[in-house]
Amino acid sequence: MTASTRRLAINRLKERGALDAAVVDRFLQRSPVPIVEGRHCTFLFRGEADEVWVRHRVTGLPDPLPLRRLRGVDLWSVVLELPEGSRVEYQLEIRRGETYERINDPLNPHRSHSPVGSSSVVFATGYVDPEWARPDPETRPGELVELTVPSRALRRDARVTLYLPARFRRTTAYPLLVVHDGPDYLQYASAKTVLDNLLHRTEVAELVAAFLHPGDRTVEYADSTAHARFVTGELLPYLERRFPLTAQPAGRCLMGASFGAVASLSIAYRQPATYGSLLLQSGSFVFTDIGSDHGGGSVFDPVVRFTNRYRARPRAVADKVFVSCGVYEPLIVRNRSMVPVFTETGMRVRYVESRDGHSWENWRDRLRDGLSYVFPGPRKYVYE
Amino acid sequence: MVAGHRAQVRAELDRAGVLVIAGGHVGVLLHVLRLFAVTPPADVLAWSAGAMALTDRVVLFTDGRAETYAPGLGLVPDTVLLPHARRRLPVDDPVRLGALARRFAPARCVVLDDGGTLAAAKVIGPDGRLS
Repeated sequence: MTASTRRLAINRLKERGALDAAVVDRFLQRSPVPIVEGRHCTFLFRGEADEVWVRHRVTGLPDPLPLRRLRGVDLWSVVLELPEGSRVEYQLEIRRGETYERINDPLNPHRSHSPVGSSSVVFATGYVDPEWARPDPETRPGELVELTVPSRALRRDARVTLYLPARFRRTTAYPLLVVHDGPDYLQYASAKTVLDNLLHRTEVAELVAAFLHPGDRTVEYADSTAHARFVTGELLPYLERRFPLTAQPAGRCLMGASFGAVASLSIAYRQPATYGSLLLQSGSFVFTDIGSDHGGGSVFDPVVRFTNRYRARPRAVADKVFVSCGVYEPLIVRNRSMVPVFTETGMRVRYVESRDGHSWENWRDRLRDGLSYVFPGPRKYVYE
Repeated sequence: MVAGHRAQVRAELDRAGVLVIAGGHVGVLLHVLRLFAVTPPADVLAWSAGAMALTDRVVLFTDGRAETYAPGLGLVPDTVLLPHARRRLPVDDPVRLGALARRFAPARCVVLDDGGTLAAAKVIGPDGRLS
């Protein structure tokens, strides 16, 4: 135990000697759980169990991470060092006899949500919950319009949720943001609230956003010719005929996270003069330098073939590219490796890292950086 | 056609006792003032972007960065007006403020607070302090 860890609340509790339930009750009432003290984070579980672990997906940390029981009481703990600004999603795994149970932390009210369920989340010292991602009563809200776009390329009617900015006017020409995994961006990354706020604050140009509803995203977003034909050959003409869009490359951006980022790059790669910018978050840019063992399973096969092809002969596919990734993701090395590849093509590249994982709230937190880069608003010109 | 509109604007201004220029997009404002060749009357009431347009050098500033944008009308010479500075500049950082003041010297960098007037405004000294 070092001088800094000796002062931690959990270690002060241990040093008290005889512990009982009442002492633990008072201890847990004193501070939110997990207990964040400087760079240290103490995870706790209270209850009868044979073993307890923290389960997480932070690259570089042991997973599962065992908690140890304090002598004489039903309190379990483990201390982790979390660098400043970190945001970590986790669950607890509990073994009782032969039964294993995975649960959200019952002592922590903070939850993070995604299409695959919820998890607990801990915020390290210095993490800032972006106020621009919360509803602001001063902000005029935009409007969401549901569209059905018939697609021969996809052989289905494609659902699209269209965002129209507040004070939408037919006499104005708007840039278009095409968003992969649209419903998830809206539900889990607060995309409408973020757009409303950033447009209201003039940090992002007034724009129209097309939130795409995927079919089987692991197929459509994995360098699919059909999906690219749909977006460029069917969706763009459909929208540009019906809505006041700039209909110029500089006014078109493809955006996506994970496989959605691969889809964005893949579409632009097939039509390099069509899109002015890309916004790529935690792209699943898995590649191999030799052999074919990429470790991602068969759904990644077309992704790896595409990424390898692009890396072998990179070319400019847009004017500017925004790339972001969490340093706790397994994909961080892949994304870091793509940055010089993009840069050497002559595209303008902005790359942002965060101490976060492969999660929708990580992608939400980077939207301000990304959107104000691809479609900067008139903020620096507006004084009122 | 523009000449006709310029004449109309000139006629309106000749009848006006005072010209009021509100805030907004300073680029659009300067464009409109130039397009219609606006020559302000003796009395002008202006704020925010409107006040910036009255200077001889319009400086954009946001998130601590500043850049010269365009010449203004020149009614307030040798002055860089910084409206809403507390929302847009590191006013508690004398090092950066001092660099800003020295960069635009000999023009005075004037901080206009929300609701304040030019007469009561503070000037950034070369040491970055407001006085």
